[in-house]
Amino acid sequence: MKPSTSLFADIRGLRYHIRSWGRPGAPILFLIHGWMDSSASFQFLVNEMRGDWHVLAPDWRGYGETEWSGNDTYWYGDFLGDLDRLLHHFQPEGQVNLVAHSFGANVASVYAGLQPARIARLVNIDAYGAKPGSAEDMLKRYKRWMRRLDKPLAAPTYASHAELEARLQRANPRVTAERISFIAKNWSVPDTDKAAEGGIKLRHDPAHTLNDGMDASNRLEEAMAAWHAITAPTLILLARQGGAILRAKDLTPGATGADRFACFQNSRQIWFEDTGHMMHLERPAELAPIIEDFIQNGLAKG
Amino acid sequence: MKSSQSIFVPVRGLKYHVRSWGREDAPKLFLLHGWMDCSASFQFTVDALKNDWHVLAPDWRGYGLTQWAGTDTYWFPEFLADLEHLLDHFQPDTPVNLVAHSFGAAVACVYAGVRPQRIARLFNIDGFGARDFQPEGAPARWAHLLKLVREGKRFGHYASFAALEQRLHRQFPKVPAQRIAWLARHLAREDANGGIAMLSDPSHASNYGPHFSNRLDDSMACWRAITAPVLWLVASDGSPVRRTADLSDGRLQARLACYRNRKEVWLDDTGHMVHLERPEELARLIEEFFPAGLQNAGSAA
Repeated sequence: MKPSTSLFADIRGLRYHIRSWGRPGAPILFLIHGWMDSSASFQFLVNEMRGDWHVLAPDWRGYGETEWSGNDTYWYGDFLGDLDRLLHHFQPEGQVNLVAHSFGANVASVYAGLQPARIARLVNIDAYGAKPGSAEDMLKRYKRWMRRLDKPLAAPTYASHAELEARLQRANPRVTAERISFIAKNWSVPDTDKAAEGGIKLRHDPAHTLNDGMDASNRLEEAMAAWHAITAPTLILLARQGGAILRAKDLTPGATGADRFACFQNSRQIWFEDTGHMMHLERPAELAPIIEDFIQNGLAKG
Repeated sequence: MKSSQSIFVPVRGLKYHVRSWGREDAPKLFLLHGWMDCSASFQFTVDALKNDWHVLAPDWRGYGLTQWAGTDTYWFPEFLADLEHLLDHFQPDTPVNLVAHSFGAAVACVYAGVRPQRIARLFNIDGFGARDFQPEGAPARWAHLLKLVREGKRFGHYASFAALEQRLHRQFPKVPAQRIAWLARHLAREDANGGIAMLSDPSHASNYGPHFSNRLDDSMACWRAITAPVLWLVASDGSPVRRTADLSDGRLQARLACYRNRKEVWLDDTGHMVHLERPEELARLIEEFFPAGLQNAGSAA
């Protein structure tokens, strides 16, 4: 397993944790994780990379070892701001390579449309963008969001690592037990009340589960306008049993998967059969060479 | 001048300052200030009220004596949740009387649609709601917000209160000098270097966060869900938003039409800061709109 080191940076007032692999000075690859995930999950993808890279993977605000925002709701626009500051911190000049999964790819894909000149390559791993929402849906989202604010949120607890691993294994049947065990360790911390008995809790901020706040601040029409503005070559890696398929019905009222991906003008899609949403955990050995080839050669080859 | 008390309330992790005038057991009126304003600017309106009210006016997060959020951007829905928390704190059991100006009215009017049963009556002072942003403009708008975040906070400093008063006077030429002087001393305070520092968080100054996270079509859906009577006070020379293209022709009427149970009052020769320009007229309209029978709504429980 390739060792990572932990870097910390002040990003808009929060102490951000960034996992770093490889040689500083080598070409930088930014790996951006998704909702309820963390930077550590890219370990297996990084293990499979052959090139000389400096891989930098932040834990988003309220995830992994990055500080929580202290607020009771996370807003979509803050992730755009954080990504901008992170890229500036590590690579203030030139064009960046962004490899992003799920929610992280939603943020990265919008960002790539806001700052098209800053992006060399964009890899979107199984991300389909915002939920559709009419104005009436927004009213409902506000209602649900404020109702949930009244109730205290607590991180889910587990009696043991084995219990969390079993839960993660059920949710991700294609991920090997060894990797499940690895992410279970990285996603959890001792539950202070039950630490003596081996109790653990998820380490990310439970406020991330207030999705109505996020949905209310991430509008499909605006995201699509941003995707249209992307100029960088974009590689879209899709899992046949992943987000698109499972959520197709929810997504279609606003724009079908085909409508959405048509916004990415300079792009190519690759579908992975018999693959779930956590592609970086399920198929790292197949993803790594495709990503490395795309970063080096763009869409022309491969 | 009626004297106010300062109440401090924890709201979603922030120490909120709420200015309170009048007897605690009198019927309550909540007064909500707008962008770059503060609760103290309602002083002259409160002075002109004839009836017995318990007036509660919060300084929004990052304004006046309320704590700053600690972030570099304020998002629109935060104000909705803050308002709910404040109303639940002071008047949890009965529908409330809301008087709200400008950005405060934008918040109050969305809130009144989200929680229609919580509102007895809503008095909107020259608040026109969201800008009519189109999705196609989103990349440029968001990119502009990123630029503001990148540039960081620009703190508002003035050499003296006189300098701030001059600026306010240019901005609000119809407000008498004595009220400008009062306002200046509540929008800013002396800093350690002998100058004057604005109390409002400079993150509000760009105001793009709340703008971008408050869409007109969403607001209109909320306005249609309001059940309470709404009085919409329109200042003839009022809201800068009103003068922009997105409120020309029938568009203002389309907004007004969302309010099913509404009364419009137009004030001629009046600028946006109605509460500072014409507090006596405003107080009279407020007391007409919140009639005696409803005055007891606050203490009915």
